[in-house]
Amino acid sequence: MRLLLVEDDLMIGRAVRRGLLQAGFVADWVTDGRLGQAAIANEVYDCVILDIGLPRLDGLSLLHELRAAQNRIPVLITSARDAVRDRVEGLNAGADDYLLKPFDLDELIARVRALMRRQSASTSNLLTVGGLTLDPLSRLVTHEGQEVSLTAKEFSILEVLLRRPGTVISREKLEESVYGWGEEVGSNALEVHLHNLRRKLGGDVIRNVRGVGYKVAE
Amino acid sequence: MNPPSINRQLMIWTLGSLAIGALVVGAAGYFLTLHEVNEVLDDSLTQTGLLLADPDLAAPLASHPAAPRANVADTESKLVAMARSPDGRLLFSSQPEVSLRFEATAGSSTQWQNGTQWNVFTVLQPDRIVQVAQPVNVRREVAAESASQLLLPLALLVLLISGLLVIALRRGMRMLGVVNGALGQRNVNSLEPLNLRGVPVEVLPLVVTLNLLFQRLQAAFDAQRSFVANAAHELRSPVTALQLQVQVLERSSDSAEKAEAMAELSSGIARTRRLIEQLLRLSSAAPDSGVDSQAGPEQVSLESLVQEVVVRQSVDAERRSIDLGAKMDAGLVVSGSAAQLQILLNNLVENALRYVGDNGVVDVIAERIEGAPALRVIDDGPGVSVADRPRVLERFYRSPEAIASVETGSGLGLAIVKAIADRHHALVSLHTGRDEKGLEVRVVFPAS
Repeated sequence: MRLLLVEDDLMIGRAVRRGLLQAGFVADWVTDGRLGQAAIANEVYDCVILDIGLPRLDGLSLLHELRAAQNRIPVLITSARDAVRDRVEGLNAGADDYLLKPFDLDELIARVRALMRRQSASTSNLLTVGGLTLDPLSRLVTHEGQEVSLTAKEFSILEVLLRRPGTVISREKLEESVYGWGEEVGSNALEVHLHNLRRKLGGDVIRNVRGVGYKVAE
Repeated sequence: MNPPSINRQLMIWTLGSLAIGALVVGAAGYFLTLHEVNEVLDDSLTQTGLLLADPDLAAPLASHPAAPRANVADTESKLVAMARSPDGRLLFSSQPEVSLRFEATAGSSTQWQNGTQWNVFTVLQPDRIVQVAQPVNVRREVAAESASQLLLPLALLVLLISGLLVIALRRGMRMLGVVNGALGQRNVNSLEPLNLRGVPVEVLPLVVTLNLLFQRLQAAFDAQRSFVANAAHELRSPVTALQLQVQVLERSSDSAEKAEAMAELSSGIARTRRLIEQLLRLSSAAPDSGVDSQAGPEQVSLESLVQEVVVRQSVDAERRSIDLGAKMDAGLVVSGSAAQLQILLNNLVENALRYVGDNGVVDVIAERIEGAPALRVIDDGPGVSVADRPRVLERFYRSPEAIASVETGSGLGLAIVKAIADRHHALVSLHTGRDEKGLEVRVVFPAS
């Protein structure tokens, strides 16, 4: 899960990013609206956490432009403006959720997960395909009733694949989804993680569609 | 002791003057009546005397010497008539038990007889002497009786007036009660002015003054409320940061991560503390706070002001290898609060040091600009774009340059400077700083 955080307050930005990383998300962070807009245009993010009071381009204008361009990416607004009018304005502009500052890290993460769930039209956080179950909350993976121990990157890759079971996801897309900015990505790092995953789960869970990408069989 | 009462004062003065008036009227009545009675009775004494002295009418008297005439004695007039022979023998007396001294002087006289004063009228005739007498106190009694008859209507008048006065006062006070009731409904949340309709003229000035007071209170409350709202709003960001930093710290597993989270947390606390200090400074520097109104303006030397602030900030500057320098013209004096001007300059220098970065240059200058004493703080930091300059002086505004820098300011520093400058009728302006970059903040005081 790769998230984009748009927040101009340096302390809040650093803390939220760190908290998201600790929770197993991949999170990138920009400090103004224009940079946020440019980052979203890359289409690598699953969700945007957007502050309203931003320099250069404020959060609401960014959101308006995003929705006007038919971009459906889930957006969670964080703001210190607590008037009902402000919240209504934010939601009307196309936000999927509104979180008031000061907020709790757990609540932020729970709401981001809820947005993801809504995106995949599921009522549970649990991602289940066949005998494989992944719980993004507890970061627990079980296969045929057996708990499987995964590294953070392996977990992220599996989560991306399980969110769209049966869909072939390109190598590039997978890479973008599990690596944040500034992370060194070796030329075959993804293949190494995938190899390890298949070793731990058994070869037939993750299928390689040669020349296209990877998928989890439905 | 009872509080003073308009009601009571009015009653005392009105009834007091009515009572005195009644006494004056009574006394005047007494003396006027006495005067009239004197005239009438003197006349009647004379007439009676002359009548008795008439020889034709008086002849039969001789045949009834000293005949008692008891029915006459009780008359209210207490008139005594007697006749004597020229040698003094009593020929006749209407009241023989009253003996009057014989006086052979014609006309009116008075004499004392057994403790009673008598008015006597004497007529001398060849064959007799006729005397008609009457006690003086009869006249006084008549006058007093006549005057006392005035007292009853006067007393009734006093009663009537007091009754009407009580009613009038009650009606007047009821109007006060209406005003009082309207006042009672005023509180911190509803300070709208009192309606002037139906307010008696006497209390109108009071109500108008109250309305002005309400207006000022309302303005002060509004200012406070918006300040608190702004402050609470501005505290949200640092508090959000603190909350997140604590949670990140809780979840950090290895020691390096923990140390980093700890450092973040303490810088978050420092930032919150700075914001609170700035808020307090701002609230005491705002023109509407009236905090320093008890201290009159003092003469502040800009030279020593610059010296103090630069010395205080030099430790911080040295630590960060910032070249902090001062240049002062001697004899520059402005009128105002030394403490507040120190906050002003301190904020300017602090701001410059914060944004200038290590190895930067900050100049603090006190000089005369077009004859007016001025303070200039010039740095070679990121500066503020011309477009953003007007907004920089607003409360809580942070320029993109300020946000981009690593330091996190409260956005209040320049607002405090502005508030203090306004109090001193000084103008704050922003200019481009050293070497076509950086920022110069200029505070120009009114020329003395």
